[in-house]
Amino acid sequence: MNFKRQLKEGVITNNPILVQQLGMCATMAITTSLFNGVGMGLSVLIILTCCNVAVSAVRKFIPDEIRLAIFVVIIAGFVTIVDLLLQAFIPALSESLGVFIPLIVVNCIIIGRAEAFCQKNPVGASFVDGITQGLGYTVVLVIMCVIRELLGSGRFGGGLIDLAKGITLDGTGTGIQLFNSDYGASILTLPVGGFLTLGFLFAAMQAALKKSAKKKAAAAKTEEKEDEAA
Amino acid sequence: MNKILKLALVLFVICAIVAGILGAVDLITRDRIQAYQTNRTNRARAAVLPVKAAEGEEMYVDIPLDSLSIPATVTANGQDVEILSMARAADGSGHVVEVKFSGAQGNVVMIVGVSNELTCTGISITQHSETPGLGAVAASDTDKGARFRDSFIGVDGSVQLKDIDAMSGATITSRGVTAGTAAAIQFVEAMLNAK
Repeated sequence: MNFKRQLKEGVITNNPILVQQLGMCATMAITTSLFNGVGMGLSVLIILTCCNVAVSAVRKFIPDEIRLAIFVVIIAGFVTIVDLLLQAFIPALSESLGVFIPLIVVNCIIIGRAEAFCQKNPVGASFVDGITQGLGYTVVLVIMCVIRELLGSGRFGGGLIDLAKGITLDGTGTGIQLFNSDYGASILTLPVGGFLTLGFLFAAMQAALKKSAKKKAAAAKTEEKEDEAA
Repeated sequence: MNKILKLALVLFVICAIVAGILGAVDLITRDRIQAYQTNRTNRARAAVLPVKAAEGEEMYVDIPLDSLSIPATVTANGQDVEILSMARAADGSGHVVEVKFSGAQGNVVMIVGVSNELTCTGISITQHSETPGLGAVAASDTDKGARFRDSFIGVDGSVQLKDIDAMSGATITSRGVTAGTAAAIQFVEAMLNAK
């Protein structure tokens, strides 16, 4: 188990949204305020970690033919638990995310990780994978929320931060208004803005990954030359 | 045959375990969710039809639907709207009606205040699963949401989509809310006529 490597994979080189391109529907739909982004990110992180551990723990007992049905039952169970807990303890978040919490059941990130990682790896590694992939998801959601909220309505931290009350967990925070919302590009707060923001993030990520791959290749080449020269 | 039985057994055991856990979680959260929803219904009623009442006094008197001899489903603007509950303001200033209709993503529950002149005094959406950022704006605390809801104040039972400040990108939700409001007013009218 290599935590550092898994962390780098989850957040950067194998990021669930920007590289694996999974779970994009919810990503584009809910990233309109920081409150939504953080709430959705953490919900997915918790559900993903629980499901990873559960799937990994039962991986030796489940027959191959019905593994997908069992994954779905386990995932649906955890999603319902989180949904009920949110409704009971953070109702504002539950209202704000609406249908997207129950829809985590069919979020490809979770079933994707169950199929690609947890059924082949021990519980410890699956637990770490859930946390790192969940972090990768949350980081991208937060970046998208900040971009769309700031450029779209001139606000930062809507729902979560309030100048008078500090950090609010009931979704009443008004956020920090950096400029008048009339001057914002309100297209960014609409669904089309979600597509645009995500597209630019994809492009930036691909460019960064390519650059780093080129650098690595160049470094390997010079090393080879040095070896030959020696 | 044995193999199929084994598969069924494994699936059954896992489903049973998950169901058991869900039952336990439901037991813990049920009261809190219920209390939150009751509280929200009362706040929503007060928001659409404020009533002057002394502290501790009931502000609304529930009218059981089965005590009325009119159907609890009203078709308004071509959409079926179910009437969930009904209450009279304690000071006689009007009625509050709780209606359910289908929005863009699922059922929407809304409270409509109806004055004695059969006009809308306000609407408040208490339950919905509309798309965040689009239909969900109708229920949100934003300026856009308030503008949408306020455009229903004063309309009567014949309200159409064109009479209100509909939300762009959320036509189905706007249409549903319009039908729900119209149905609530028509229901109160039918009830008063039946008396």
